[in-house]
This record gives sequence, C-alpha cells and structure tokens, in this order.
Amino acid sequence: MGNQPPFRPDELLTPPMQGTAFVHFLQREKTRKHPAAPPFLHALVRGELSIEQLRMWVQDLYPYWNEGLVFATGAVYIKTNDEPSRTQMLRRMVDVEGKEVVNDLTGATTPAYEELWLRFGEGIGVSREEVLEWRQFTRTYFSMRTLMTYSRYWDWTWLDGVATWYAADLYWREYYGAARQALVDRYGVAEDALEFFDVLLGDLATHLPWEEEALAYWACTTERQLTAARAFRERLDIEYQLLFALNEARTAERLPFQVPA
Amino acid sequence: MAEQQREALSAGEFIELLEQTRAEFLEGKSPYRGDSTTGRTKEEIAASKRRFHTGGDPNHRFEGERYLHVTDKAIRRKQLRKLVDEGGQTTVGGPMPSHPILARWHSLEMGLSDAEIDALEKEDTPAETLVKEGWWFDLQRSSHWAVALSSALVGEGSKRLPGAVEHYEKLIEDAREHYASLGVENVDRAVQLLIEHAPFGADMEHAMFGEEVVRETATTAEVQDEMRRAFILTMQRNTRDRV
Repeated sequence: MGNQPPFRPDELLTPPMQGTAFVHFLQREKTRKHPAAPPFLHALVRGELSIEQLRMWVQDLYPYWNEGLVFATGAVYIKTNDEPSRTQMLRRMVDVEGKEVVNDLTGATTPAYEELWLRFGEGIGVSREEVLEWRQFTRTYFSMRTLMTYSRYWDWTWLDGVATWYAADLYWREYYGAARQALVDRYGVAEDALEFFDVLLGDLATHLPWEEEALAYWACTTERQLTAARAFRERLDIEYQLLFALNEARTAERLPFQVPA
Repeated sequence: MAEQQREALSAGEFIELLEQTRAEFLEGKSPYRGDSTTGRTKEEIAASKRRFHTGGDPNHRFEGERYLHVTDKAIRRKQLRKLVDEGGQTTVGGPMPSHPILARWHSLEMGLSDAEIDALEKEDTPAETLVKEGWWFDLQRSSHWAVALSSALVGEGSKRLPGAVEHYEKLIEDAREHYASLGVENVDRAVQLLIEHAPFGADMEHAMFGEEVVRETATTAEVQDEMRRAFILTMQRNTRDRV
C-alpha cells in the first residue's frame, strides 16, 4: 500500500475474479491506464529522435539497468516464501545479473543487462565513460528509487511484486520490441549492437507464463486482487516516469534537473 | 586531545583473532556443525524435523538480505551464485534442488508427509526461533554488507578449518549407516542435504567466501570491531543452551 486508506469491509464483499479473468483484467488495465507508448518511445519508434537523444537515453537509463532493476528484483525475492515462485524469481535475478554467473552449471555466457546496455551504447557511439559520468535526470532517479523502495518494503507485498514484474514484462514486450525494430529500420543501428533487446525480450517470454500462473493462483481474494492491480498500475506509472525527463529534454529549451554530483 | 586513531589489524591477524575467539568461546568443543537435527530413532529424528519445518524456511531471507546491499558487483554476483546453490541449481537448469527441498527429502524419508510439512511451515514460528532468526535477519538487513557477509564465517566458515573435510566425510558415512539401520528407504535422498552442507565442491567455495570478503574489506579497526561483534553474537545464537 502507498498512502491509500485501507479497503473497508463493504468494499471487500465483492467476490474475487476467477484467476484467469483477473490476469485478463490486468492486461486491460495496462491499456486503460496507458493507451499509448511513453512519448519518448513513441518518438523513437517513429524515427523522430536524433542520435544524440538516443545516446542520452542510454546514459540516463543505465543506472536503472545497473542498480534499480537489480535491487528491486532481489528485494521481491527476499519476501517471497512460495518456493515455486521464488525459484522463478531467482532465475530472473540471474537473467538480470547475467547468465554467465551460472556458467559452471549451464555454459551460459550472456552478460548482465547493464553490460548489454553499455554495449548498445557503444554501438550508437556513446562510450562507457560518457555513460558512467552522466548525471541522471532527477525525475528518472526519483522513478528508479521509487521502484527500489516499493519493491523493498511494505508498499508492495511479494504478490504485488509479481504483478509489477508482469506489468514491466508486458510493457517491455510491447514497446522495447518496437524500439528494437525502429533502431534497425529508422536509425540504421547494426544488429550486433542490439543484443540487449534480444536478451530482454527472450527472457521476458520465459517469465510471462509463470507470472500469469502465479497471479491467477495466488491473487485469490478480493483484497489481494485490489492491491496487486494497484501495484501493477504503479509499476507502469514508474516505467513511464522513467522516460518523462528524457522527453522533456528533447522538447523543452532547457535540460531538466539532474542529480547533483 | 584527540583520541589516537587505532590501527586495524592485518587481514591475517584479524582472521587469527576471530579463530582464537571461536576457540575460546567453544571451550574445546568441535567447531563444526552437525546435521542440525537430533535423535537416534526414526521417531526422534522425525520430531526434530517437525520442529525444523515449523514456521517455514529462512534461507532465502537471510542469504537474500546479504545479497541485496552489496555494492561490489563481483562480490554481489558471487553471493548470487551462492543463492543459486542454496535456492536451487535446478532453477537455471542445474542438477541440485534447493536446500529447502533437500530438507524436505530428508524429512520424507523420516516418515513426514508433504502435507504435514506444508502445514507445519504455516504454523507460528517457535518463540525462541522467532527472536533468534529475527536478530539474524536484522543483522543481515541492517549491517554494512561486508559485516553481514562476514557472519558466514561462523557456520560455513568453520568448514574451511583443518579437519573439516574428514569430519564431514565421517558424519555422512555415519548417517548413511545409521539411516540404513533404521530402515530408511532412500538413504541417498536422506543424506543429500548433509552432503550439500559439507565442505566439498560448492560448499567449500561458500566456506572460503566469508574469509575472502573479510580479507578484502576488514581494513579499519571499526569494521573489524563490527565483524567481531557479529561473529560472537552469531556463535551465541547458534548455541542451544545459554541464549
């Protein structure tokens, strides 16, 4: 829960939706809450960004892939006491940190998302140094820290956490898939610079089924459904907020605030 | 007059101090962990396992807390690798299930059922366990990450001491013989968690990990004080009679 007062007894009298119906409800909530892509990604997909704006995207989102997502994923794992869900979460942590972490078990060599993001940056002409030296836009930073603290503490339960992962995976599937295509078609980015997108999209395809299964099974009361749906919407809001300042930067005369050095 | 700043011990000296502290604390008793269950008959072991399962398994909570705050990426990923060993190599396509599953295998061989274990895990945690684990989670959650990771020197870290391999080889061999004499149907499954906790392969790496972290990070007198305090409190927590 965030700041909202608790649901009253009469608000909890409505019977919960059947599991699959609840998952479909979440899918509809995504469209209702955010019917279109974030303006920055919308512009990217339409080929309206300059190469400098693409590079700024890499710079500004790096802390999210390097720190925000790592921490938020581990934070939900810690509070999950359902073993089948937890093992899937552990697999996701390995995805984020790099499958090469378990090379001795699987032979995998895929690096961490943050490393793949850096390589994408290099592919469009922004060096690692330029990424690491960038002072993140304050709005992006606030969004990332919100994800971290809500994942960590009482604001989201473990099941709410699953709902937020489901939201992010649906969002990435829709918009990062389109972004990848646009990077090739409209910006001429070489295929070998796009491994980040292939890995992310490949990974989320393996997570969506268990997330749907967990939500359909465990969100079995009205209150669980109400809080999970709220967390689902909040995660979408966070993902959109992560790109708010980048869009301001490309449309306003002055750069938005940045985190102090 | 400003207080003179104390100098940190060298890494080697500090680890020696911790081992000396351990030896004094144990008053000549073995530093190694047993199989964490008690009893000779199948019924006594089953009763011990019922106590073990009551309130659920804490592994992911304290190991996850240790993982979460590490700012050194290489160390954090080593801790993640450890989470995979304990949370289930099967998660990523490896051979070994999670430690909670292996604990369940042992219990099933001692006559418990999955339904009984499921029910026990949902019961209230015994009060003593509640406060011992509560403190343990708090240590991992509230301490500097290096202090949290160093606390593994007490349990897992004991397995890097001379004689540990022989101790665990004998422990496993004795358990095999004992379980066979009790008529346990699948002795291999019953001893698998014991094998995973023994200092061979992955767990030897885990045993060394705490020392590696201490060697890299215990560079000030203040950090060394915090680590030693956590070390002593962890040993006190692990005793069954005086805390």
